[in-house]
Amino acid sequence: MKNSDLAQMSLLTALALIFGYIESLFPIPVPIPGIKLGFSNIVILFALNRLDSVKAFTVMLLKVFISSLLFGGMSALFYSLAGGLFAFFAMLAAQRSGFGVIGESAAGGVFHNIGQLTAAAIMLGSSAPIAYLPILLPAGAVIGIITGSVCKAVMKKI
Amino acid sequence: MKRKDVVFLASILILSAVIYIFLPRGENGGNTVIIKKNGRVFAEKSLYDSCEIDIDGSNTAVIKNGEVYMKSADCPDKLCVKQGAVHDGSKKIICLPNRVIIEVTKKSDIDAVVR
Repeated sequence: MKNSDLAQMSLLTALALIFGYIESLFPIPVPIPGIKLGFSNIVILFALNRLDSVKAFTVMLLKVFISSLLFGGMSALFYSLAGGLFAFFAMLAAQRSGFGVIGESAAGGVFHNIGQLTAAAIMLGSSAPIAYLPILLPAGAVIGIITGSVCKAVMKKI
Repeated sequence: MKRKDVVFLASILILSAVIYIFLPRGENGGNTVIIKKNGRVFAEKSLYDSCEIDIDGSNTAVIKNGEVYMKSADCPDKLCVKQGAVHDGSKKIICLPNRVIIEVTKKSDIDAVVR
C-alpha cells in the first residue's frame, strides 16, 4: 500500500466519523426507528467512485467499528455493521450495473435500511420489524437521493 | 439522474406499496396485552387492567384505560416511549435496544376449538 493511499483512506475515515458525530447531535424528531440522514455515506460513496471498491470497503468497516466503539456499544455495532455491509454491496452492485451516483446512493440508502431491519428481526427473534419496510424503503431512497446529490456536487469540484 | 436510477427508484416505490398492501394487519379488536422480551413471552395481561409492568428492569409499560404504552426505557433514544399508546392489534411498540415487543391481540377464554 502506498503512503498516499493510507493518507487518503485515513482522511476519509476521519471525515465519515465526524459526519456521523455531527449527525448524532441533531436527531430527526420522528418516532420511527432507523431514520437518519446518513451523511457519512457521502464519504463512502465518494471513495467508491473516486478511489476503488477495496478502499471504500475499508473506510466503511473502519467507520462502523470506530464509531460503535466511540459512541455506541455492542448492539450498535451489530446494527451499523448490518446496515453498512448491505449498503456497501448494494452501492457496488449499482455501480457495476451502470447506475449514476444518485442511483448508487439511493440503492445504498434502501439496502442500509433493509440490513438494519434484518438485524432487528434477528435481535428481536420476531418478524415484527417488517412492518417498517413500507416506510423505511422510500425513506432510504429519498435520503439516498439527497446524499447522492451532495456527493455528485462534491465530485464536480474536486 | 440516469434512466436506470429512475427505474430503480420507481421499483422501490412500487415494492413498498405492494408490501404495505399485503402486510398482515392485526385485528382491530383485541383485549390481551402480550409483552415479549428476547422473542419470548414475558408477561400477558388484560388490556382492561390498570397496572404498571416492570420489564426486567429495562423498561416500564403501563396499562390504563384500555391502552398500553411504554412509560420509561433505559436506552438513549427512547423511541418506544415516543411511539405512544396502543389500543389494538394495528400497531406494536418495539424497543430495539432492549429487545422488547408489546402487542395487543384477541384472546378468548377458550384455548382451542375442536371441529
